[in-house]
Amino acid sequence: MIQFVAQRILIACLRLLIASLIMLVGIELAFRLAGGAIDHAWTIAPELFSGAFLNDLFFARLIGSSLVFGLGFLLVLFVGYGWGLVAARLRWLQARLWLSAPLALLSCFPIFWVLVMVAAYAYWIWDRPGFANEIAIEEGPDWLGWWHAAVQGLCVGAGPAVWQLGAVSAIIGKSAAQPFVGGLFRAGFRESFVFYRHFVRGSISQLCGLLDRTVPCLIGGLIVAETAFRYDGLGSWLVASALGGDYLGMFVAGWCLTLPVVAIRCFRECLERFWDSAGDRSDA
Amino acid sequence: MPDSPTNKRRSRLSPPLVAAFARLWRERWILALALIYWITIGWLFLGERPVDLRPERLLAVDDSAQWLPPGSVHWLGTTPGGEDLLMVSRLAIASSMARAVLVAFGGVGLAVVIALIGSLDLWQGRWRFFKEIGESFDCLPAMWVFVVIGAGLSGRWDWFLGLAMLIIGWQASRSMRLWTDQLRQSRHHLVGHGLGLSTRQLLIRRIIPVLLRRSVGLIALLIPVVVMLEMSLGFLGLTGDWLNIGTLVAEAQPYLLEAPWLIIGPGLIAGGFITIFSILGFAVARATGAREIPIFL
Repeated sequence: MIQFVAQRILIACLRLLIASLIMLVGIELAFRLAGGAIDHAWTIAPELFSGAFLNDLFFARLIGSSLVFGLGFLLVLFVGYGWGLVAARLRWLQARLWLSAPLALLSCFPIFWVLVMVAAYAYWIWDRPGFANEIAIEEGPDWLGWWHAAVQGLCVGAGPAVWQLGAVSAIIGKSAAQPFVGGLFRAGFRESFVFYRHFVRGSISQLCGLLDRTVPCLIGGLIVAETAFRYDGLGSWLVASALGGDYLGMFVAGWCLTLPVVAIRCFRECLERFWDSAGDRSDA
Repeated sequence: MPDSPTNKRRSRLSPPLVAAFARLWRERWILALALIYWITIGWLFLGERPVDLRPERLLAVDDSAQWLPPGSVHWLGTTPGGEDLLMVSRLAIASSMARAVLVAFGGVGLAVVIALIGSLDLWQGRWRFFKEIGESFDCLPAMWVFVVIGAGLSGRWDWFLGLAMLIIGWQASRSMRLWTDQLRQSRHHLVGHGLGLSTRQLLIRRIIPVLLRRSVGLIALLIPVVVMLEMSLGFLGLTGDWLNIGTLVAEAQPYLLEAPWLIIGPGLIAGGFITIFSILGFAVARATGAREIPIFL
């Protein structure tokens, strides 16, 4: 297992390297070749290796984006796996449809519009600044910061959570259609026993496979949400850098946003392997 | 033994016509959905349209601004130039829809080609190398690519169509590859091989028709996704002069306090259309058997 984990970490590093090269090629193609800029993409190297971007603002952005991403990802995990399990358990009531309906409806509205509306509502109804950059808390717990992150996390995570819910309930539902299920019921086993002991346990490996599928979509939403809500994060930094032609900002923000995708994929591969080897041991 | 006479009345129509009618009857739900779909799209593209649709012109505020709040004549209010906001929003959605249809068709076409290349395994072992590189490409968030390329080529509309087709084609090819593998492992395929049919024959008679049928479902699901993507890029200021809901909302933000209807109306219209097209898309995908769709972008 340790050998496998080390191998996957090495592959994750290689993936990150390839993604970094693709980023450099993308910047070169877009700005130098097609956009007619003077500088090449690799002129960022001195600043990159001297760590010129490592200032307080960078760390504040990193923490801000991590908060939004973390809350969005928690929502995806909770709704996707938790509600997906409930939806599969209550499949004869079409629970998948009515459980996913509120978040599906939210995800049909553009993220930027919902966040602008939230800001306007906060201003009109609660009589306080709406957008995230309009007030800074200097003392005491930053509840307002948590509120800003939570609103964005909800908007960003709604769509991926609905997809995850559907995928989880479909995977468990597929196990329920297997031929041995009828035999178990005829043998007198209770529905809850069959569900948790056979359907869920038999699908865990496939369910682990869904862990990283929504992460790129979450990151994409994060870029739009932070810009719309005027939140200091890596997503808004990326957009500002791209519009201002700042290669270093584009590369560093892109690298930081790619890192969670690679890390969660690596974790998923290890988890799948661990579960498969645990299953083999229990079979033996 | 002589043929026994039957009481069945023979159809006067020629057999191919009867077969075609029977086939249409079998596909009646898909046809009904397609009809609703195209009626909605038709409504979007009908009606009057002003000559100049540039967002900054539509939302330019000067001394002669004549904006009106929502009322019985203008349900969503008017722009500073006096244009009906409902009509402007409809045109914005229509232009986004047109581009989305183009991107979805192109992307899914590309996905079919990628899946068939993988299915034929033209490069034998080399396919695996490209798959590994592709997995590294998947780690890069698609929105990063759109933002950077869009900013570099700002003001040129063709970049979005080409890039979106490529990225969506790559992402949709995952579903296509999965379906191709499932079909190749199905009983029909094995029986076909047992009966002596070649891989090429099975591909043409069995796999390609199923892939094309499911492609329709995939396209229907992709259209609202691409509309949403284009609106988001428009909001970020990366689509130049295109009229779309994102650009309208971004341009109207300075007037949020004086004229909130400039933002509320277009957003509601966009949300309504994406909801309708998503529901229709899921119905079409279900009717065509397109399942196990990945999350896009």
